[in-house]
Amino acid sequence: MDILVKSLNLIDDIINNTDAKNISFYSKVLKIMSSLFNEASIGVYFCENQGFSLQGAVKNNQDFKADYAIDSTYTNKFFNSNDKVFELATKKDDFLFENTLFSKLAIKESVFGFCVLSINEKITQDIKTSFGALVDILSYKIKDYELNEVFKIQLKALQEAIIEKENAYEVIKKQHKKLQELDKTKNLFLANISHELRTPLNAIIGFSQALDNQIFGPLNEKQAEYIKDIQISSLHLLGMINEILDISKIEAHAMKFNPSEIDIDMVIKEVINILQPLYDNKNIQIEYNSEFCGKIMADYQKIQQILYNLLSNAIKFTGKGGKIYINSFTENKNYILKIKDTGIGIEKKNQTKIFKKFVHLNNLCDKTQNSTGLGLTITKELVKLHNGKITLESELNKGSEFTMEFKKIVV
Amino acid sequence: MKKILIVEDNELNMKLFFDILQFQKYEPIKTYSAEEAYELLKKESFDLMILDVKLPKMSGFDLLEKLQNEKISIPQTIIASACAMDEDKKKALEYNIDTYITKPIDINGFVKIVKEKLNV
Repeated sequence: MDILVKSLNLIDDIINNTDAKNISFYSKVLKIMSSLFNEASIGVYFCENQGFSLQGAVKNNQDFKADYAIDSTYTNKFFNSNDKVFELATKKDDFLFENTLFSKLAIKESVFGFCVLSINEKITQDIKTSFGALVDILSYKIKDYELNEVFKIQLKALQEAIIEKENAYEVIKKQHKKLQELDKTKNLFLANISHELRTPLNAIIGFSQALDNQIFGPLNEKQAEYIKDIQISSLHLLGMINEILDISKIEAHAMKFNPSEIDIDMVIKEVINILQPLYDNKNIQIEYNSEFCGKIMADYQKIQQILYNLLSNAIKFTGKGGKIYINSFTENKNYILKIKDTGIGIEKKNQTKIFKKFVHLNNLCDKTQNSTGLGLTITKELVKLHNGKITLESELNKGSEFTMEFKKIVV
Repeated sequence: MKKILIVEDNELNMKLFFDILQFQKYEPIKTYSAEEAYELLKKESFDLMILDVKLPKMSGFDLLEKLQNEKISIPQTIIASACAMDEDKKKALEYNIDTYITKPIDINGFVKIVKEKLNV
């Protein structure tokens, strides 16, 4: 059969030889190629650092252990020529058979090795063409195989990465659950501890109040002063304990909302009265401007607490002789309450921070008055419970204005 | 003299209630547990009861439940508790108790409430 037709059939065999692995892969392809000739040896060489290394060889269709390196005078001649297939005049001793062909293993311009064919037959143009085509296919097969290997390695790496990620995700999930449980424990602990702390406070506040009322006899001036100090400190402590109790309730989503129709004007006046000793002490004036005197649907205790927190903050951060304005009005069934002070104000960058837990702004911190740093967090949550929102406008050294908008609570 | 039963397990809080009520010319009677109060309530009648919720073994609400089940009359009651839980307030209403004070108590407010209760 004509060598061109034969080699065409071989191409099919080589292409389908996809599961080839390593040395047997070259051997299989080379055996297929060598079947074209009665007697032939074929070797595959790959470029290495400086020279070539034999990757596989077949002689007369059998695996052949060739251990010799090709003389560089041959390879130099071959690589210096531009021929696709190069016929070499060789001494018979150097190769196994009389006639020898070289062809580069290359993909486009990139050469990575060569293939040597040695036969006894006279080399014809058809043999050259066939050999060139087969080596081309071999080149692609080799690269395909290499890419496949790379692909496999990368696939494996990807799979490992995915597994690793999944494992990490599991760990995070477990840790998250653990944290949630810890958080629950913490809230329960806080609720219990604040309850326990209130019991002895009851005695402290009660007895000091009993003495202050002088119901069991008169006190001298110093004694009366000290009793007042004890009362102020215990009320301060009570306030902080209540804040801790509140925040643990909020975090455990256990804050109950008990709305009823309340007279907001009355609540505001009540809180202003409660705080009188504080603002009188700093000679601060409170200007309350009420455009609305109707009723709103709200939780009485919580509205009182919101007002108490915001007003006591305003007093705390307003200098002696300053002013605080309270504006209460409605806008299409929405109730709006504004509390504005002429205090030290809050820098823009800190304005969103102040609603977060445990925040004390350094410049705002009144060193003489310690706090839990929970007041505004609680206030925000209490406003939220009423389906309302609280916003802040402030300028450093000029003052702050808190605006609360409660949707549709006007009765 | 009006008889007021105090049910309170904390020694100092008991002393505070007792001293104030005595000073107001009432006749306070101390009980440190719901069980102790139950035994007294079976035998005697009182004008007013100051009841703590969290007590050893039997709670304040357990006491009210027991009295109601055994058809022993419950005197006018002021619940005084350290926990300001809304559920407790609702529970108190089930026994027709609408006066609930949270510890720490304000003495002046407490005296006023006691007076109001006893004048009804």
